[in-house]
Amino acid sequence: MTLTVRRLHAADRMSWDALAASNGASGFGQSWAWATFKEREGHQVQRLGVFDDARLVAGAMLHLYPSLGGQALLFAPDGPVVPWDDEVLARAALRRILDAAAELARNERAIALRIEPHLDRPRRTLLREFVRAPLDIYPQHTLLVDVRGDDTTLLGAMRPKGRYNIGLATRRGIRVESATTLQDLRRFYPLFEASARRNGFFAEPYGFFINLAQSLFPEGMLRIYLATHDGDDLAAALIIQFGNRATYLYGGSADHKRNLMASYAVHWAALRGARDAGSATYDFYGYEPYGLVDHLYAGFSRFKRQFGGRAVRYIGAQDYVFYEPLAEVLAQALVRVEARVTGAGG
Amino acid sequence: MTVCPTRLVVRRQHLFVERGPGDRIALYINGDLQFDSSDERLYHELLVLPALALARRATKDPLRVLVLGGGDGLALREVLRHDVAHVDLVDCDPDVIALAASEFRGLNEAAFEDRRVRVHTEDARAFVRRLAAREMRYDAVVCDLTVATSQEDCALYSLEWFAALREVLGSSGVLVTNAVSPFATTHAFWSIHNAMRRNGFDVRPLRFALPSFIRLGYGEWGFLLAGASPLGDLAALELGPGTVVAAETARAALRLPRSIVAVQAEALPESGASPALLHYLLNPAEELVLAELDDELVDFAGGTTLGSPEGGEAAATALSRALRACLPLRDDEPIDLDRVVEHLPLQHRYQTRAMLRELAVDWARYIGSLDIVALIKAVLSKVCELPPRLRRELQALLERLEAGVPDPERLLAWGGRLVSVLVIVVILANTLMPENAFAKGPGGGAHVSAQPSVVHTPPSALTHNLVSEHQGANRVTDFYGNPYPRGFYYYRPYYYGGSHPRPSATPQPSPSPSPPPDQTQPAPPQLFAGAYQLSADAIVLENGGAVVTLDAQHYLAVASDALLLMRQDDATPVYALYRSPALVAGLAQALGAQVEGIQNYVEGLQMGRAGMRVYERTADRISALQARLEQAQLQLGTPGSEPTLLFANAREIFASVYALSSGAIALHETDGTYRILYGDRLYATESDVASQSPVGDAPVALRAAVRIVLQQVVDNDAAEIRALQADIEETSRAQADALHDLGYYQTDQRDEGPQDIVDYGTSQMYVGDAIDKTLADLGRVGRQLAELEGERGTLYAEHAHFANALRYLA
Repeated sequence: MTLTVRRLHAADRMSWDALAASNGASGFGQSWAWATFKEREGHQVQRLGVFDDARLVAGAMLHLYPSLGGQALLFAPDGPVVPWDDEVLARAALRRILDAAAELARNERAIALRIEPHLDRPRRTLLREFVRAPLDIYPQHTLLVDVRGDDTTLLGAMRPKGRYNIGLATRRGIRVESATTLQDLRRFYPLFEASARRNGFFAEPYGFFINLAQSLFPEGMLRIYLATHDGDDLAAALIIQFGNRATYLYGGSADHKRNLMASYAVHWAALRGARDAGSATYDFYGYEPYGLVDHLYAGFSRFKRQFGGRAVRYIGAQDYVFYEPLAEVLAQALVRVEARVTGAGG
Repeated sequence: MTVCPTRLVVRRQHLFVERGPGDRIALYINGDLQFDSSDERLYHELLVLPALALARRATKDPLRVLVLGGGDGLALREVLRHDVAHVDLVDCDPDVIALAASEFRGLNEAAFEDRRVRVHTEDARAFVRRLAAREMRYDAVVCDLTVATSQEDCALYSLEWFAALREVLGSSGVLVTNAVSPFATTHAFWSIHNAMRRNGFDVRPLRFALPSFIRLGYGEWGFLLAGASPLGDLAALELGPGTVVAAETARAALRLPRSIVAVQAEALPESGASPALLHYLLNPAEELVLAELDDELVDFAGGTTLGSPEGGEAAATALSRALRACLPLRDDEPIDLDRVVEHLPLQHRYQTRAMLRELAVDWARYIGSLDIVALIKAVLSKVCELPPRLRRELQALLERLEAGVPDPERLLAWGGRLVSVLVIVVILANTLMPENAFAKGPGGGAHVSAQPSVVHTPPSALTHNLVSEHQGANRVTDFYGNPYPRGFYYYRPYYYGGSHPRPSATPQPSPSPSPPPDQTQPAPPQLFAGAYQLSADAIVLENGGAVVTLDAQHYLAVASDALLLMRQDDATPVYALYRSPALVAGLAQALGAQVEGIQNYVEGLQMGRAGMRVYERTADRISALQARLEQAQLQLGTPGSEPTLLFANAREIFASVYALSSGAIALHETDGTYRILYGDRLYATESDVASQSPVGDAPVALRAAVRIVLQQVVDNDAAEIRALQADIEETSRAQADALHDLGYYQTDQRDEGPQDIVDYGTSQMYVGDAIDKTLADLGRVGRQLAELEGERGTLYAEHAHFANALRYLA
């Protein structure tokens, strides 16, 4: 087996997305469109493919945000895309990716590569050269709902309160529409913002969503659901569709008419929309499974729990530290510090 | 307002035309708003008309004007109102120009069809360079460029750029540039000003409020108007007929608050050799942003006294800034992580200081998981010119580590520059990825990785870039006037020095705002209207009284001689308890920190250094708050001495209420004695419980309050045990995997000899090395497992203790 690694070009896009979409441990973070989105947001993305002869077998979208001099970090959200079940191929492919990343790290002074494949714990020994990262890119715990089945099946798998509130929202006249154009961002954002303010979230600026929607809408990867009542927008959910998974990435609800349970209606529509678009799984994206009172996710986990589903916990982000660039950064910094201490400059 | 940065590869701009109700139309470039038809006239008139009126003063001939950026044609529309001979418009983006001719044609009044206009689709810098060679001169140059979001973009606000523009202006030519918000990014505004000033321009700052910009949190906006020769008095400048900008607005635009002006000399101009602007944009002075202003205004109509500051720091990378700000003064001093968080430069436009504070990452653990020995060796091999003292220091550290790498905390405590610098580098690199902090949890809590243990929520900060609309409403507010929904905070004994054992460190009270509200809790009663959030669960009432929330229904009010357990719905006292010195001391400490924080803030204002934006109501709020907190300090009084607890093995449920190992509950009474709560009766002593001689019935409300809090503690302990259990299972499996590999390597070594090559992770190495590495892995996993099991043991004991008390209470 001779594997080669090279940068992917526009012509490789289809085969890359097909590979990433079919890899159970990967996700939208490795998609081509997500890289495009992040480039608009100022990231640099290195698209690496690992080939067995001419066949694309693995690779990674390596994201990097340019630092203002000093040090950077490479990261592969939902990646890298590696055939984890074929240990021999996975080992060889991961090695190629790490070598290519190391080269990039030398040029960009990146001190580590952060990966975050959706792998079950414990971390397999193939990853033993990695250390647990101090920060995750995406939540380590999440809640997955299986959306394969008809409405009755889906409702049957929910908790009674979830079912009840969905029915309630419908009876009280909540309607849900699926928005597909950028213009609907104007309706989504105030709801997102209201929730952020109410719950004390940090909120991305409006421009972030423009970039997101401009990159993902044309690819059919983005859906926005809006729940309305008497002409009022009451709740929204922004869903990313990639592979056989639909991920609830952002959402929000208005401060008024909260008794109409519009949020339940929105997710119910989104679950069915995900199913109809061919997804097998609806990812609630962030969940607290143990019932910790103080946990950051405690509040909205109680809400998500009503939809049933299965709590999963991945291995979380893992760092492969590049000791050479790190040593380089440290050495230069130490020399500067020493020069300052001894008064030789600064 | 568009021009691409000059690079060989021009970054593509992405346009979004948003259509609103009516004919409202807005243009966004790469997500940033360029104009909104609802108020763009204000922007473009103020940008163009004063500059052209000034140019008009210098010559009677029709004007020659250069517009850089502004491909939407809106600035051009304003230019064409004047008597102009010729206009060159340069914009790199053909898409914007195409829109100007189609979608925006009505808005720009078909400006591009005017015969006096020549459009150049190219990079502004290249165009200006060519002009200089041709000795072309303009009467006015209007820069309507996008705001810088990258290092490259900053070139269009640099010393070099304004030097080049000066070359293409006539001797009394006028230049105006779109700048940034003087309020949201004060230093960045002055950096641009100073880059112009240093090129000998007479520069006048302009500021104005644009509703569409304010709505998106951009802040009040700013332009810089400059003359190649002195501009003279602008007070009587006529903008011409038919403007939407009122004469008063134009006059007011020339007045800036003194506190904003005060920092002008601190701002370094951007230059290719010494970048500064992006740093200023990413790191607005927090005290300037958080408040508003009611400052005295400095009027720039008559002229400017602002100098052109020379010198300043040399070019600084984010790392060198960070080292300067965060490194301990002495070599042997351990690094202070709080200081790093407060002083680390921000490097991403979405990152805020509050997010950094939220991260609460166990950096020590991460540093501890790195191969420090390999790292030191790599550093030593890196620089042959390493100063001898540094080399000796690193070698000494290496020798020290050969005896065994200490646990991470000790490594950090050892200090040493290597570890300190390493901490700074690691944190700095991690702040480049702020997406994990967004909209992912109340308080913006990021995904702090939780290995091996449970995440313990820190007291967190509510931060929002937009100005709160709820200030002054009947709500609990924090230092910055941010509102807090009430009824969400639970008593945390460890904030107040209670005996309730917790694995996490004691969080420091800080003037930064507050904790995760929980949307499922009932709405707040009006009881706490106007109250001030002191810490995660402590509140200062309007009358200066201090209150600690126990649960959604009960709170403790601190009286001079007692702690009153109160019901929240009707503010009824339920029971009077001993004034717990630990609780009072904790509150006093939190109050002290707040008062000190406010004093520093006010002193900063008085010294003029901080240059705060303070509107009148903020100033009022600050002084009222100061008075209230000082009143609270007085009212709180001194903690008094801690009494000896008469019971062995008691655990605090909340202040002055203890769960005993027997399952009974001890209530510390106001007179210092104890009552025992058991079942539904009160007893004088524990032995009276056994002999069933109660002194009376326990108040129902008291039992309810204790039960609710106990239930909460028990539930949470159970959840923490579940979480720990999952960690332990995972770690055990990892241990088994490593043991399995060790067996494999050992067999291999026996059969094939130590020179055999094996896989370790993705690497290949001698089997002997793989065995060494695996043994080291096993050591780490073993230590982790022992820690987790220890923690679980502690939690089991605590859980059993409280569960027992709960059982007898129920």
